[in-house]
Amino acid sequence: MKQPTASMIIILIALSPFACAAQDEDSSSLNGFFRKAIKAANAKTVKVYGATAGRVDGYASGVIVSNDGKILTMQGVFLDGSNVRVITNDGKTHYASILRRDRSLQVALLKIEAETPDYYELTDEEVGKKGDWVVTLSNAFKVADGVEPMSVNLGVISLRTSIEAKLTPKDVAYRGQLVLIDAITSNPGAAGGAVVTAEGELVGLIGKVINSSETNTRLNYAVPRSSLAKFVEGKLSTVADAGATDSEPGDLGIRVFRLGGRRAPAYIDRVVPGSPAAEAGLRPDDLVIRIGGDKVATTSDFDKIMKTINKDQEVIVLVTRGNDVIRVPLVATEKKK
Amino acid sequence: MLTGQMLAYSNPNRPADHYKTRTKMSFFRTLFLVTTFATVCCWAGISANSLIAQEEEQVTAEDIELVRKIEAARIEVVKKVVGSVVAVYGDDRQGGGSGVIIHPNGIALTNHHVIQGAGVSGFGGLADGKLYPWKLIGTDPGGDVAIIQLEGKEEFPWSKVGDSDKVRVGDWAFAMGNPFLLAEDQYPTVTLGIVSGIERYQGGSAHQLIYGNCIQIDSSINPGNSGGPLFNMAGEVIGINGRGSFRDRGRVNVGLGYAISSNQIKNFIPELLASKLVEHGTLDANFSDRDGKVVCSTINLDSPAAQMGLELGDELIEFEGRPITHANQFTNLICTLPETWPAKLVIKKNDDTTKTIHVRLFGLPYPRPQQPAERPPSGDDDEKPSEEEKRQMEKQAAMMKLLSGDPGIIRDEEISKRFAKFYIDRWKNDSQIENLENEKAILLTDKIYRDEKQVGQQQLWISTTGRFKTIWELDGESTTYEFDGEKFYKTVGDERKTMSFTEAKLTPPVYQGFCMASAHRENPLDVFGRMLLDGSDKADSRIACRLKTLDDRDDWFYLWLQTYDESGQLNVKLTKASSELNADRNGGAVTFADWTSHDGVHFAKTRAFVDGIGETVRLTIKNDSVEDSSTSSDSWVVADVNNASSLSREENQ
Repeated sequence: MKQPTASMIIILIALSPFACAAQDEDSSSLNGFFRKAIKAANAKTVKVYGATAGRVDGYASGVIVSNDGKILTMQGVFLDGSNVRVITNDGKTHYASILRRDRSLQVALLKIEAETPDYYELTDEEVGKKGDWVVTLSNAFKVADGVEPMSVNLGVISLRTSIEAKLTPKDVAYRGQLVLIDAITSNPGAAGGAVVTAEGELVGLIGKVINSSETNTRLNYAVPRSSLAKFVEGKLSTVADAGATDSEPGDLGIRVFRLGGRRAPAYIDRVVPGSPAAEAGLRPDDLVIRIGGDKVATTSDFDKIMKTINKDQEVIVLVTRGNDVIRVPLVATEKKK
Repeated sequence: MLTGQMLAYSNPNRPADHYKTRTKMSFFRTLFLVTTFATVCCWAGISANSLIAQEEEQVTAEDIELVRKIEAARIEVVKKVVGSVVAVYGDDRQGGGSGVIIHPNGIALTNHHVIQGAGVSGFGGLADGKLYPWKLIGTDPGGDVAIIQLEGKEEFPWSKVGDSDKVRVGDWAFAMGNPFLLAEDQYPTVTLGIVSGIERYQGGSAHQLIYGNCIQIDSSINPGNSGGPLFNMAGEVIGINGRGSFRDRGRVNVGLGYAISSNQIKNFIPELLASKLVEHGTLDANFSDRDGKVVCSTINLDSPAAQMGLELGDELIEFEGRPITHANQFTNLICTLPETWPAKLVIKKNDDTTKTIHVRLFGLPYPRPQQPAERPPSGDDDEKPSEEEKRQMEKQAAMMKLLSGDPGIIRDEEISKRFAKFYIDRWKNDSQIENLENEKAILLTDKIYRDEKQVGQQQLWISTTGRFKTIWELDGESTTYEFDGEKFYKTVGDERKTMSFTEAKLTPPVYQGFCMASAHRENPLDVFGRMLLDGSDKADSRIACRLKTLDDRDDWFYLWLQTYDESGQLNVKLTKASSELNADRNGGAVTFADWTSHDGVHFAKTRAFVDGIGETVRLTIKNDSVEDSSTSSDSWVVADVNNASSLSREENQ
C-alpha cells in the first residue's frame, strides 16, 4: 500500500489540471496550456484610468461582466475624479460612468457606452478549488499601454477563507469569504484584474492591496465571483447607491473614560442600556484590549477603530475584568446622531 | 514535540528568523498531521488515494505518471543548463550578479550594470564550485548587455541562445542566477514562472539601460539575478534577466521581472565581441499614433533618413520587416538595434505611394561619466593608500576609461582579431570546410543574368590554396582575372597586366572568385592583411557579423558572415563581400548563397552583384555545372577562348 507523503499530496492537487491538459495536447506544447485562457481573458479585461492624489495611483484594472459595457473594478481614488477612462482590449478609450459602489466589498460597477460581446457571466456558483492553477490578468505598474495585452501571473488557489480575525476593518471591511492565491497580485494597479482558472473561467476579481501593519506583508487574494454576482444584481446587503457611497456607521454601546490625556487606557465608563455591549454583559471598569483584530492600548485607539465599524458588522471584543479575559462577539447597531 | 524543538531556534530579536521558524513550524505541523492522517488511513484499510479522490477530483494513476514525467523532464532541463550559469563577482570577489556562458570558449552574457559594479575583470563562480577569472570583452550600456570571457577551462559548459520571437504569454520560463548571493558553493538558484508579457518597454535614462521589446516574467527576479539567463523549457536562453518593477517595498520580487530578449542580444553579440562600447541606433525621427496610423511626427532634416526621403506626416507601414500598427511597436523595435544597423522602412506618402528606405542608424550618445572628485591632498604625507584602496582606485579608473572612451570603435585589436578568427572557424566548422593537405581545384561553369535574362557566362577555376582564374564574359566582352597566390592579373585581349590589391578589392568578378577560393585556407583572405571583427550588420537580409581585413596601408576589405539561419540556429556562413561598407559606390558588393561542395571544395552556387545597403541586385550568377580540375594552372586553359593560348604562352616565357 502506498504511503503518500505531504509533498506528494500537494503535487497531486496542484498539478492535476496540468496533467489533464497535457493529455489533451501534444506534450511538447505544454506551453499552450495557459495560452488559451489568457487569450480569452485579455478580451474580457480592461485598463482603468482616473484621478490621482499624491502618491496614490490613478489606475487600476477591470473585468467586463455584461455585453452592454458593464465593468467591475475595485474602489480607489481613481474613481473620484471628474472622469474615468476605460481602455478595452482593442486599444480604444471609453469614458465610464459609475453605476454603483460598495464600501464593504470595495467593488465598483462602471458602465461604458459600447458593446462588449466578450464578457464574464457571473453566477452564484463558485469556480476553482483549493490547489487549482489560476492565472491573473492585470495592469500592475501600468506596464501595458493602450492595445498591449495585460500582465499575466501564475499561481494556485491557496485557500477560501474569511480574513476577519486577522486584519482590521480599515484594512478590509468585507466579512465574507475571499479566495487567497499565491500569485503576487498586491501591486499598484492590479486591483480589479481577473483571476481565472486554466480553463478560462472567472474565479474572482483581484482585491485591493492589503498591507499588514504588523508584519509589512501583503495578502494576495480575489473577491469571489458569487459576491460579485450579488453586487452586480444589487443583492448585496450593504449595497449603496452612487453618491451615498458610505455604509452607515455602527455603534457597540461602549463609552470609555475620558480623562483628557490621549494615552489613557480604554476602561469602560458606561454601557448604553439595550446596546450590544449591554446585552453581552460588558460592564463599567472592564478594560477593552482588543476589537476585531486590533489591539486597543489607549482611548484614541478605541476611537480610531470605532470609526471604521459599520452597522451590522460583527466584531469580537476582548476585555479584561480583574484577572479574567472575556471574549464577546458583538453586532454593531446604528449609531445615533 | 517537533514544534517544541523548532521553537528553540526562535530568536525574538530577529524578526526574520522568527518568521522563518513560524513557517517551518506550520510546515512540520502540516507534515505531521498529514502523515498521521495517512497512517490512520492505512490502519483503517482505506486507500489514501480514494480519500483524496472523494475530496478532490479523480486523479488517475496515469495523471500521476504524467505529472512525474513532466517533473522529471523539468529537472533534466535544469541539470542540462546548470553548468552554464555564472555567479559574477568583481576582482575583490564581492558581488555582483549573474551571467550565462554561451560558448565552450567561455564567452558569457551578463548585464552592463553588473560589470559597471564589478569592474573590467573579476571571478565567475560555476556550479562545479570553482571560481574562474573573467575579463570584459564589450559592453552595451544602452541595452544593459555585456559580454565577459571566462578563462581556465578547456571547454566550458554552455547554453544555446534561443529564438525569443517564439516566446508567448503563458509559456513556462525559469530564471537562474545568484539572487542575494545565496550560493556559497556557487550552485545557482532556479525560479520557475511564466511569461507575463512580451514586447514590453521599460524606459531608462540618458539613452542607457533601456529595455525595449523585452520579456516580462513572474519568475522571481531578485537582486543578484541581474545578468542571469531566462530559459525556456527546452533549456535555451530566451533572455537575460535584468530588472523588475519595484516601488514601495524595496528591491525584492513582486511578480514583475524583465528580461532582455535573446533576439535583441543576437543583434549585439558581434558588436560586443569586437570589444566595443556599443551605442544604440536612432533614425533621428519619431513616430506617433494619429487616426489609427503611425505617422512621422518629428524628424531631423539633416538625418540620413530625411535625406533618403522620409518626411513629416509620412505613414510608417513596416520597420525591419515587421508591419507597424502602433507607434510603441516602432519604439520597441528600434531599441533592439545597434548603431550603424542597416534598417529598412516602408513608408506611405500622402499621395498613397509607398517607398522603401534603407538607412544606417546612427548612435545615441551616452553622457560622459563624471570623474570622481580628486581626493584632497592629505596633510599627512605618511598616509599612503592601503593596498585595498589602491585596488579600488585602479578598478574605478579602468571602468572610467571604458565608459568615457569613444563608442563604436574596436577598443582592443587583439580581442577583435580573436573573435574574427572565432567566426571564421565557426563558418568552416558549420560548413565542414577542411583545411586540405593537398591542393584541389574545381572548374565552375556559370551563367550570368541581368533581370532574369542571360547576359554572359564565366568559367571559374578555384583552388583550395586560394588561387583562382575566371574567364568572365559579360555583354559580349571577355576579361580574364587570375590570382596566382601572390598577385592578381587582368587580361583583356592579348594584354595581361597585374592588378593592384586595391583594384582587385574593387572588382566584383575578382573577389567573387577569390573569396571562395580562399575559404579553404587556414586564414582566408590573409593576403589582404590582418582580419578583425568589425561588428554587427545585416547581409542578404539576415543578421551577420562584419569582418574587416586591414593591410599595412590601412586599406580594408569587408566580409559579412551570417550568424543565424532562418530557423534562428547559430549557423555561420560567408554571405557577402565588398570593399565598401554600404556598397553604394563603384565596386558594389557580392552576395554568396547556396553553399555546396564538389569533391571537398566549397563554393556558392548562387552569387549576385548588389548595390547599396538595400542590396539591389545588378547581376545574378548561377552555377550551371561543376567538374574536377587539375591543380596545375597550365591546364586552366579552355580551347575555345581566344586569349587562353596567349595567356599560357606568356606564362611559358
